[in-house]
Amino acid sequence: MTGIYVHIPFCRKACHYCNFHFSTSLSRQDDMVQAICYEIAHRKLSRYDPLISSIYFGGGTPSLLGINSLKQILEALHRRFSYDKNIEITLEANPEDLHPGYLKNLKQIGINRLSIGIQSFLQDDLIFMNRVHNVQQSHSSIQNVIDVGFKSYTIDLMFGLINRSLDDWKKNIAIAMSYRPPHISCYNLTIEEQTAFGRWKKKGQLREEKDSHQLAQYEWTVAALTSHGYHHYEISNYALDGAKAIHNANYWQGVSYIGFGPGAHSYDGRIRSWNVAHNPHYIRDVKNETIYRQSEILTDADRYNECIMLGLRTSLGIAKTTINSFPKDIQQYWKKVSKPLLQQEILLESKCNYHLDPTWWYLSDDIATRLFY
Amino acid sequence: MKDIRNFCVIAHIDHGKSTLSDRLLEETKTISERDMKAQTLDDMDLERERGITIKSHAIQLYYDHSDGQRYTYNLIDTPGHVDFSYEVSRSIAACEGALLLVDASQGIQAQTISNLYLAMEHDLEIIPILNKVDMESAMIDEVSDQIIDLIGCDVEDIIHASGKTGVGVVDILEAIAHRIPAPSGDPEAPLQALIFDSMFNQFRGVIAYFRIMNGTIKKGDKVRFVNTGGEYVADEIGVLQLEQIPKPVLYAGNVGYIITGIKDSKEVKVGDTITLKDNPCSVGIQGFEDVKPMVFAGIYPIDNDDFEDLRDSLEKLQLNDASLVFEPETSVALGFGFRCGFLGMLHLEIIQERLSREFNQEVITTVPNVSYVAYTKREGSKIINTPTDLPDLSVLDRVEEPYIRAQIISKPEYIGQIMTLCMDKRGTLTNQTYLTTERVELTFEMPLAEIVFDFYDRLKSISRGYASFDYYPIKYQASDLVKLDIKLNGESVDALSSLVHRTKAESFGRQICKRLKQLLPRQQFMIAIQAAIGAKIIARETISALRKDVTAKCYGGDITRKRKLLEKQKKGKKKMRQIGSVQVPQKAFLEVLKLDGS
Repeated sequence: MTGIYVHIPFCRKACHYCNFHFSTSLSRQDDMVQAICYEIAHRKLSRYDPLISSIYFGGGTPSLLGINSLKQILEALHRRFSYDKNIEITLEANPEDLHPGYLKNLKQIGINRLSIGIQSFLQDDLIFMNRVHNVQQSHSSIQNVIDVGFKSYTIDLMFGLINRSLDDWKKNIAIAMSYRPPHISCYNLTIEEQTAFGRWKKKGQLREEKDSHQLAQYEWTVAALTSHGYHHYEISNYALDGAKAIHNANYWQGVSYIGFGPGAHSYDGRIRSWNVAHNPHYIRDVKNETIYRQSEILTDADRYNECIMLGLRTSLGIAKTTINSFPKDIQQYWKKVSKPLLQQEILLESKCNYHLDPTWWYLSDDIATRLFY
Repeated sequence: MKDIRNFCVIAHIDHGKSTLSDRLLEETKTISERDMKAQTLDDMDLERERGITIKSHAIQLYYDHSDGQRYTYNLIDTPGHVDFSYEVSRSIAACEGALLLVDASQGIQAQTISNLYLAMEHDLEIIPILNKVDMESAMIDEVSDQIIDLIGCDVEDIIHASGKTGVGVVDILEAIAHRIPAPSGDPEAPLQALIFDSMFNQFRGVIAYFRIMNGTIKKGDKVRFVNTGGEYVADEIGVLQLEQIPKPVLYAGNVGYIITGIKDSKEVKVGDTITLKDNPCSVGIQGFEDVKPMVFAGIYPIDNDDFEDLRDSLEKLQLNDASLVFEPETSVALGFGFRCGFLGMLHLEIIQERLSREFNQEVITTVPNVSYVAYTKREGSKIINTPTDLPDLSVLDRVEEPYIRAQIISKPEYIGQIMTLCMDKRGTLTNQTYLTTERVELTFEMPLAEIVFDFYDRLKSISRGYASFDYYPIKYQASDLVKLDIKLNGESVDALSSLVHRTKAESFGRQICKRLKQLLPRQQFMIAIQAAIGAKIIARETISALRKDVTAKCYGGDITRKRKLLEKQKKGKKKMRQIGSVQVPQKAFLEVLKLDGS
């Protein structure tokens, strides 16, 4: 099966932490939607399984699009692909957009899961992050989603913010738990270079929170959410029974995916490609396959490294069958480098897989580099 | 013989020796401007980059003098750093004259003075040259006074020159024939030729450069090297122009090269005398010394598998640098490697850099130390080139360490700080002389070991770069030395051990711990860094554990980017060495010595 990602590259304003591709210039929305539909209809996709397990509208802010635009894209998709009967169709949405009327329409055109960018239930945090919405909208958006009858939704929260106490974070989680969302993502703030936070950090105007504080918030989150019955299945993701995100989980297991829209990435199990991350160029060039896309062929070593890097962050870990699917020299390499980690009981071996205990997920990049080929 | 002039150039680093040499070559048409890479005489990349001549060379030029005669000039280049003072002395011994080159904007430096003294001891005729007179910052009168004070010449004897504009070049060429005496020597006497340098050519073997003091050498002669006793056939002799020009015969007074098919550079020792097997001279030329390495350090491959490659590389380096010595050693922390001996710290750095550049060998260099002599109660003396060789205290009678005489020249305003530094380095002031009102020369006796540890950098920084420094070894002297061990998480790291004076052990230990704290990256567990003398811990630092090394989001578009980032990080970690449970960066072993805020 294949996952589909559709990138909607528009935002009302730039959040201080975000380094995804977007533009705050909204004037060419219609052109963009036409270009995306054109790409969906015409791109050569012979190497992908046409049966689709998930569709994910990400951004940017997909909830900026009107219902008709979304409908057009979904229709274009449906004309080209066949859907699995349990298909998950997620729309990333900002709280300020989730009015009851809009939600009803979303439901009607086939969106069956919402990912709500709450980020925080504390007004100071929202201002610090430069979010568009306020705390009232954080609350009302979730209530509206529930009221309109979405069974599946997730909320995003962010911790590790600068100068915020563990108690502030506990408050956030407590409020979130009062809604008992089926799924919740708790992201540790990562300061990226190409963001406002990144620029301030470089100038010395902003200092990252101590890693011991960030870890304390993480550990508290893990303990609190698991005690509430959530499965901690990836470093930043928690789900109640049966509510794991199909689309995102596929990324971590090497399932192929097709990305439409500017900056979107695709992966067919061998080749990763990405569309130009520039709105006007994308719109202009989308009809010419060679110009708007770049790609790289992954070597066995690249695929092995990715499988390590991704597997170490998840409860599923690295499947033994996956390791065994690599050429002999890579398998032997794995044996050699994993040995000391197994001896130190950092890496754990079970019947079908190797995995890290969640306390080690926080150092998984460091551990991954020790296992890299 | 009367048309030959043999001379060298005495100058401080950056005073323009190479540029001026190039001008001499150009003016005498020895080399055309078009063919010339800047600074022809320094042909190793490294030399070019650092602006210093590491190995000396010689070149012959012909000059049509205004007196109507054509002269043969042999310019003998000299290395310009304190580590190579013996080589300089041999080059000087091969000459009758020296060009004293002084940068008009910087004045005379310590090293120039010690080489100048050496030249004067050998009765060389000194031609003073004030270089870079075209620069705005030139202090012509002041520096002229310094020169006059030093060599007792007249102000009109000083030639004003600029390697850059070419001013004064002809004056220099004229003066060489006029002022420097022609070589003396008897072409009929038994052969005595002084080896002042050698180089290795992969096709021809070792090529020795010599100056014939007496006698005559012919192609095909059976020759003997007086000090090593080696006997060879002169397969080829000749003179050194830009290329080697073979000659059937060379006479007393001339400078040339000899090829005998020697493959091992150790057989050709600078300072040795070449004579004829069948008609040998009665004595060798005075001043020969078997140069001994002064500084020792372990050199280890980052990956133990590269041990044999490292041996190959060191052997190749030794072919054209006989002053490098090495023997295999093992370290608990680092595995198999080599204990290498160097002429000094610069020499050490040069070797390390050449390993990296020419052989692509990234190595770990351990804490350097000097060569000690340990006297045991029963078994006599033993040379200690590595701290772990120090005999147990129960059998140890005493340890002696090498002392040097250090000459420092500076502006008077820095005397106080220089004295403080040298006293701190266990130095004793033995002499203080004002060369001019603005330049004072201080002479200290101090342990060589103290110079190995961050001395030169500190000297430069307290004197704002104005102090210059030269040294030579004088004696061994008993010292109260202790072995300082460094432990990482309780495990002694032999590669970081050092021998230090008891009075300084504690502060040194503290500094090393502090420095290591800056140099070691945080890891997944706490790291305890300790300095110990025997069982006694004298200093301690801890590095807290790394708590977080992961990015929160990893979806479709992040995967490639993140994989590449981690692959890059992995490459960085490859340059680290696992010691016990701790990852230690390659650089830490040497950097740890750069104490005091440098």
